[in-house]
Amino acid sequence: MKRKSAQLDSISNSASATPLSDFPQPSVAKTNSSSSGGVGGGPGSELSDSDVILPSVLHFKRSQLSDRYPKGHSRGRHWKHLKQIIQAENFHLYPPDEPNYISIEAPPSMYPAKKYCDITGFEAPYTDPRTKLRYANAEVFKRVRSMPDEFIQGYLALRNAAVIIK
Amino acid sequence: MARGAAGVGKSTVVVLDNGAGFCKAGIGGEADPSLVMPNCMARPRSAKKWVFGDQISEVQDIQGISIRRAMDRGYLINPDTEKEIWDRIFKTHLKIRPSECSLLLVEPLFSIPAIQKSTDEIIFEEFGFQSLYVGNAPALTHNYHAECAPESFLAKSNCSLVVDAGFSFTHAAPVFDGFVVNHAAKRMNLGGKALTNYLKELVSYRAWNMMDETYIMEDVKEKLCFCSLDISTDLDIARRRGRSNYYQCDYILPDGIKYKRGFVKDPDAAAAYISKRQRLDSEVEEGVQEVISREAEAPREELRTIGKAGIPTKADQQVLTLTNERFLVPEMLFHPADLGMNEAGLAECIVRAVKACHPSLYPVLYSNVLLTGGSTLFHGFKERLETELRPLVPDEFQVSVQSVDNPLLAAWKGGSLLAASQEFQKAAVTKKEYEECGSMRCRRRFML
Repeated sequence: MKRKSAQLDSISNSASATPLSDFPQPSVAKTNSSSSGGVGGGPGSELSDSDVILPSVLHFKRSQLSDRYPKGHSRGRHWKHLKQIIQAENFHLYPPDEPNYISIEAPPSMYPAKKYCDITGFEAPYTDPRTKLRYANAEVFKRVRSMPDEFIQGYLALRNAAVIIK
Repeated sequence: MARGAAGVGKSTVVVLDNGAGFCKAGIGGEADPSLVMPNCMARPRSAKKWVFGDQISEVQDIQGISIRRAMDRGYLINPDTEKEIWDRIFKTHLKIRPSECSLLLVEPLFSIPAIQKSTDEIIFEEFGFQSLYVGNAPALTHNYHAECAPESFLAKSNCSLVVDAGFSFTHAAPVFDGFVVNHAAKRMNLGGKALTNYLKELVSYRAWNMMDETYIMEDVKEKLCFCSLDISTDLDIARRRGRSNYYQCDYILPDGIKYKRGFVKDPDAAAAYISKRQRLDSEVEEGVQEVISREAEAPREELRTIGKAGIPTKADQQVLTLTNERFLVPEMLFHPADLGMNEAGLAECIVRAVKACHPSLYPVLYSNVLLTGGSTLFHGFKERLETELRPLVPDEFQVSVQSVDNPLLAAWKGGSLLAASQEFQKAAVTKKEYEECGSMRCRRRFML
């Protein structure tokens, strides 16, 4: 954890009660750590001393566990992300009158959104036409104009407004 | 030794509210769960081994701790990790033998069939439970609340609109006669985790880089965030300098040497807004505008004295200062569109959920809005939801929002009540039935 920049450079504008540090860097490591790493060590060895002793072949199952995960092989990542699971489920084939995971999702809002300053969080009456950043006052605008592009994109990404070029 | 062995005739029922944030586990019929633990595995930066969620409190270096969850957006996607966690719960904490017990599992509404199937697989095939009942949080919460206050309108009408704001998502679900009205339920993909991440990002842009410190930011969120009742006034207050800006507060970050855990620097000052807000309200009602103008003058005075009176910050303390983030973060739940998510806010969702029901239920549902889930614990959540809901609801209906006694545990307690009742054995699916019919057929009985 390191301070991003020389802090509290006294840009004492009336709007910012939050000490705006200089240019914060958009962080690189945004990924959730939960997905990192393989599946924890030795479930096989744990299974043997567990209370559950399973027969190696369950005749009512189409694919046997032992086939899917042969002993001695590392399992790797064999689980799917939720998005993949949803896609595999083919919800569009479901009867439309029955509620399901997709149909109970909240619809888009009917009301106009309020605009907050991307940098300070205060109400933003203005939008910079060049960077599309919303800003609260002239002081912030000065900072907006002197920001390098990647920070601008970072700030836009905070409210899902960044332009993603694929 | 094992508790399951002691039960004569009727088997022990394990009640498991497997939330993405916290896993609540205990024995059915008891008043409180015997274990509430973060439903995750964690690894400190210095260690190689993953520890379980309940061991995080013993971890020395909390900075940069990695968290691994079996859940993605609230749905169980990684059965292997979950199995390890459940193994620990059953063996170390509950001390039960799954083969001698039944299980009552709380699952999210409309879980995906593939996920339900893999969940059933671990329950019956890996753990070998005798029988399983799958409940959902809104219905169980409703039943628990009705049981707690049998004289209330909610209990008598046996109908309510449960708002369950959890870790991964928020559901607005009408409950009628103890069951969720399926076609009317609504889900917002916003919960405590999204709020923590949003706070983390805001702070990372404005002050410190906290992108890897989800665990710390969760603590900051829980201790300092609250719901604003009047966003523009609060923003004005947050603009002030000095002590008249009573929203500004400091959080001391852990440095790993002196402070193993972060903490709020001045908890009294951090909670000052509660009394200020009440005072401001009463003054406005009395029509005393004078005090407000005096308060507006205060900043200048404060500026002069702050140098002397202000507590000197030691150079070795890493201080995280929060102001408007404190209420802009929970704001996301009410107006996701303001913060870049094109989704209806909570109040809008509630209205839509109610409108999907039969019109004769409208008045009952609006006057029985029941709040549960960890994200409703923000101070002022109930009041805020009332003020948001009122303009959206027709005049002739009364709007009444109430919180359940213990928002974190309500679903578990409802499950415990159900597990102790006669109905449980009738409703549960036995291992034999599962082996005979498979997962899908059994699920139909839970009306999910």
